[in-house]
Amino acid sequence: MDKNKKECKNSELIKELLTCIDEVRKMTDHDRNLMGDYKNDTTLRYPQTKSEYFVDKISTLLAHSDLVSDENEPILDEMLGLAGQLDIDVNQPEVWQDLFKLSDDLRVIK
Amino acid sequence: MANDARLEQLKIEQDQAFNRKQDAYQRQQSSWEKLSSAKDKLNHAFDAKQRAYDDQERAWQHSQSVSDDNSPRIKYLNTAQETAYQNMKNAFDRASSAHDAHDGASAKSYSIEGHNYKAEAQGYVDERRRLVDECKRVRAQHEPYKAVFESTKIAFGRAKDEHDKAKAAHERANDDFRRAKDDFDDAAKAFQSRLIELKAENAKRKENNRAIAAKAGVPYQYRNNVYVSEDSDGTINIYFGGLGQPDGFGHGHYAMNSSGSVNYKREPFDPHGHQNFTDSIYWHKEKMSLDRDTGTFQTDNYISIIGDTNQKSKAHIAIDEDGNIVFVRDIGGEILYSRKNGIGYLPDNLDWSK
Repeated sequence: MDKNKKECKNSELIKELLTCIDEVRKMTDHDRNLMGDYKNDTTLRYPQTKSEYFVDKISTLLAHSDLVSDENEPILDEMLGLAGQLDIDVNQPEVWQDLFKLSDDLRVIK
Repeated sequence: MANDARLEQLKIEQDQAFNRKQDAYQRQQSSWEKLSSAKDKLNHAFDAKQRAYDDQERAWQHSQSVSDDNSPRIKYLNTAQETAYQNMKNAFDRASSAHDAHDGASAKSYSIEGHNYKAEAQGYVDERRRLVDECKRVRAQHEPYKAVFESTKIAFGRAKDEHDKAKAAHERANDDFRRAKDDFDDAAKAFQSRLIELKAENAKRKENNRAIAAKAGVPYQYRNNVYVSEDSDGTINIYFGGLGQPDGFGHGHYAMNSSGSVNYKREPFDPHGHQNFTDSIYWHKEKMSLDRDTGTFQTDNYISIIGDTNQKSKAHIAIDEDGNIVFVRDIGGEILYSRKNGIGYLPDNLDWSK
């Protein structure tokens, strides 16, 4: 993939990433921090809640792409670290807030 | 041979037709035995009739022979008796005339002559009666033979009726058997025809499977015996080398996507695991993060099949600073273990291919 196409694709991915984060930002604290009851119902499969759905999508966008690499933004790398935590447990309000801040920073940079 | 409803139905029909044919054969055999028995009885009755006929014929011939032998003599005796009678009558008439003429000597002479003729005539009568009696006696001896012959004729007629009935029954049974045999032949032909058709289809499928296996690079020695299935997304799975059957225990497994790229390769009796995925379909991302609850770092491993970025099926395995696995979620979204949330446990025999 040539550089222009790659930049264009990355731009689209970042746009989608920010859209997902904004969707989560709009949610209530309760909904945002709500995780599936996997402990009591082993038949449940991730993601179960709306918040988990977005985290899954965010972590996939960040992990399954060339966005996070040596030459890319350290912000995205940091975001992936946060997404990894949220991917295990969405009930971490501080992590969410940090993710929102990073998304704001990313929006300013881009 | 794969299950085939049409073949199974034809097999049932063939078996039913076979049973009907066997039943018809038994009936035919039974009717044949009855016919044979009736034929034996008929033959015995015929022989008895012939013997009775011969006996009767011999008696009749003997009777005729005696009659023929005696008949000319009887005719002669009748004539001789008539002549002697006339001579007697004439002699007595002349004796009467001589007596009327007072010729006593002539009257006596004619009278003696008349008596002689009378004795002669009586002799003829006696001999004739003896001959006629002999004819009657011989004829009477023929009667019992005739009665026996008539009796055997009736017995033969009854035996013939029985034989004709048995023969007709046997012919009907023969016809039934022929029809049942034709039905069975038709059913067997239809079954064989379908079998050949299926064998051809199987051979074609086997050849296609062999070609697919060859395209996927399945080792040569397995290519003639592979099991192939296709997923809804067009991925073709090839199983081979299992115990007893291609997809039996310990089987090898290759997966080829719709573009013809092989993205999973596991040789027979090799372990399952992500190492079997070829790089072309498999992505892996590793990232460190801070667990704020424990204040320790962990390494998040994301693993999944290459697809678009909207895909949500990815495995997530987290390992802490000490190398302990703290979180496992498989590619299907099942959380197998989460130390933080107290979910599940870490099984010893975790299937890492998932």
